[in-house]
Parts: sequence; structure tokens; C-alpha cells
Amino acid sequence: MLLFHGNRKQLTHLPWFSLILTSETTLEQTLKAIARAIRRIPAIEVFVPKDASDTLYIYARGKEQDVLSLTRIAGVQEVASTERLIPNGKDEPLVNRTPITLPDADIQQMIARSRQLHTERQQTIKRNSFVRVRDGRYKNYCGTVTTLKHNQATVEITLFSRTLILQTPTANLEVLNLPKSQQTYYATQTTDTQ
Amino acid sequence: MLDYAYWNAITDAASEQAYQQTGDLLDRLIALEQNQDLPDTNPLCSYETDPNHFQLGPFSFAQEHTDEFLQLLDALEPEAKDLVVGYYLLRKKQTTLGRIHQRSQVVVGCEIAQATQQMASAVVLSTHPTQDQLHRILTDAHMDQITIHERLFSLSELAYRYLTTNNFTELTTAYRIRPADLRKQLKRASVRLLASPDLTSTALGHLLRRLYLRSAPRKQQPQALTSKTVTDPAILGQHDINVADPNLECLFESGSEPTH
Repeated sequence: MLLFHGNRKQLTHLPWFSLILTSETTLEQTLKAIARAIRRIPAIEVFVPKDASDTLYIYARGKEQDVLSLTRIAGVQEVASTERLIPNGKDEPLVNRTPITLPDADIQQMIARSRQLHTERQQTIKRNSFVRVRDGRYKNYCGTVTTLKHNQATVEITLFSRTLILQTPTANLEVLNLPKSQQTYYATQTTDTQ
Repeated sequence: MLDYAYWNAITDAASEQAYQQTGDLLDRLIALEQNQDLPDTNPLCSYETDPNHFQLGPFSFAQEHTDEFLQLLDALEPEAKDLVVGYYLLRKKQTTLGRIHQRSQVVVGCEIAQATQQMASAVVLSTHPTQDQLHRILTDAHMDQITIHERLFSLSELAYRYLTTNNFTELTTAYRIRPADLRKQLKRASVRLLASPDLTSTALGHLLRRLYLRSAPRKQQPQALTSKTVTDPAILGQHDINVADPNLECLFESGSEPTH
């Protein structure tokens, strides 16, 4: 997922920084706070490698002071930096921190891979596929695709008490290859699919 | 036969205390159902905010013993099953479940608390207790024979019939009992059983309390929803997301906590 605000062309010459998050359990709240905060910044982009197993690191590109301002958000621990100790003649030396900049080529490679996975996921979805919802209010609910039209799918989610008909973009779905007996709406939690 | 070792440890050590702690929430639900003034409890108190709740164990039980957890769902009604699965297995917040099932967070919290107690009862009494089982426990507690308007009834028989038919009106009609009188007897028995130090009696106390709550006359009939259509915004399918998008908040409303 790539969150951005403003004109991204202004960012091409700027370096990327790595932001360290405090915990992956609060990832959603942290990303929500980041998304709200970057609305106030004229131009910035934040790449969240959600498909990677390690989501404690996200990457941001913008003016250095804008990126550093994100560390004030609860859930963002710090910007990855080098530390240099400067002796000052007293017991405690001063610490000089310099944020580490990352080469654009490396990050663009990760973004390209993420986009590729995003596209591939959509291509595997067919009518009658058993799928998991990836985001939104119905995240992790599973159901069967009943119709597919213009990158929009209709998913039938059978709960115990009723049936939910969810219309969602196909990119928000992920195919689960499970035997019929395991195709329940909470299948993600009963099988090793994540 | 289920291996209840883990769950027994929970029920033995923590459930009774937890039942008492969530009692005020049940009182709130009763008050809501009967359209009475809410009891004087902390309005911020919810099942989620109770720190002891997290020591109870249903979360870890659901994650680590999922098959056994799912078998216990047999003791619940369909709507309660959905809430319990959403809360303990899919790890949704009560507010999110409220939006999905069109209930307030307070009602969702109460329903989950009750369902959890019912599952704990099911651990002790099995998911489908027999009439003999109920009869034995109530007889031991000297509570099986009840008198309503000078007529003698077997509480185990009435409770068992209600459990199997799930129709309070039919039950009261068949036995020619005023619903309010039977509700009073169910409440009285549940209160006495809940005060008992015996785990089996406590479990039955919760079962009877559940029946008492279920039998409450409702001003509004629950919505008979068989299916519901919902539409997600297009932003959920995008890889590059402009934070100026008006539907941005939809991305962050899953209410799911990672389980690993």
C-alpha cells in the first residue's frame, strides 16, 4: 500500500527514510494516524509493505522535517538513524543522530513487487472462488464470489444467522484454496492461510 | 468427548469471579429490554475495558483450541454465535461488530458476555444438557419443585422444554402458567444457584439466567434479517491511495487485531 498526498512529481529527487513502528498489533491505528497527519503535508508518500511479513518498518519520502514530524505520532517509534557520540568533557556524551536515507531504486523495487502482487491477486479470482476479504469493515470474513464485473466482485458470506452480500473491488479479495468442508466465513482463523 | 482440561482450569479459577464482575452488565441489558432506568453503573464499563476479562482465557482458548471452541458454539443461538466468532476468532472490536450486526456496542458487549457464560456452562453441563442432569442438580439444591399459584411444577421439566423448544409462549400456554410467574421462578432459581459454591450449580444458574433473559418480553421484535447487501468503496481495491480521498477512513475500520 502506498499512501500519498500532493504532487508526487515533486518528490522524485528526495530520499526515502525508514520509519520504525512500535508494534505490529497497532498497525491499523498507526496507519490511520499517519494518513491523517500527511494530509497536512504538501507533498509526501509513505510505502507500507503490507504483503511482507515484517510490517514494523515503513518507508516515507518527503522533506526531511516533514518525515521527522511523523515520529510525533503514537505508534511511530523513530526514523532509522545513525548515532554519533560527541564527547563534551562531562560524564554523558552528546548524541548526534543522522537519519539514514535509502536509495530510491531499492524502494521502487519493493513498490513494483507490491504492485505486481496486487495485480496477480486480482487475476486469480474467478466466479465461485472462495475468498478472504483483505481490508475494510469485513476484513478476514470469507465467502464465495457469485458475480464478477468490471473489477468489482459480489461475495456471499454465510454467517450463522444470515447471509451478507458484499460488493467489493476484486483487489480487496484473496483466493483461499480450501476444501469445501473448511469453507466457513471464519476460515482464516481455523486454517493456516495467513 | 472434548478434552476440557484447559477450559476447566479457566472455569475453576476465574469464571465464577468473572461472572460476578459482568453481572452489572447483564442488569443493564435486563433494564434495556424492560425499558427501565439503567442501573447506577459506570457507563464506561464494558466487557472489553474490564482488565480481568483478558485473564479469563476465551481468547487464547479460541486461538489455541479452535475445534473445541467451535463445538461449544452449539450451545448458542445463531446471532450469539456470530458475535462470539467475530469477537474471539476474527478478533473484531465490539464497535465494529455492532456496525456489522446493527447493534450498539453495549448490547454487543452484553451479548458476548452472556454467550461466554453460556459456553462456560456448556463446558460443565455439556452443550445439550439432559433433563435428568437438570433434575439431579435442582433436586440436590432442593429447588426442582416450584409452586406457582398453588400448583406444583418441576423446574427441570420446564427449563428443559424451554431449552429444546426455544418458545416461551408455547411453554407457558402448554402449562397454563402466566409468563411473568415463570420468569420470576427462573430468576429466583438462577440467583440462588449462582450463589452456590458448587461449580455445576453455578453453571446451571447461568443457564437459567440465560433462559430468564431470553424470555423477556421485547418491545421491538428483533429484525428478521436473512440477508443484507453492503458495498465497499473503491478505495479498498487501490494500491496507491491518495489520503485526500473522502473514503479514506474505510481503510482503517476493520477493527481486527492481529492474532499472531
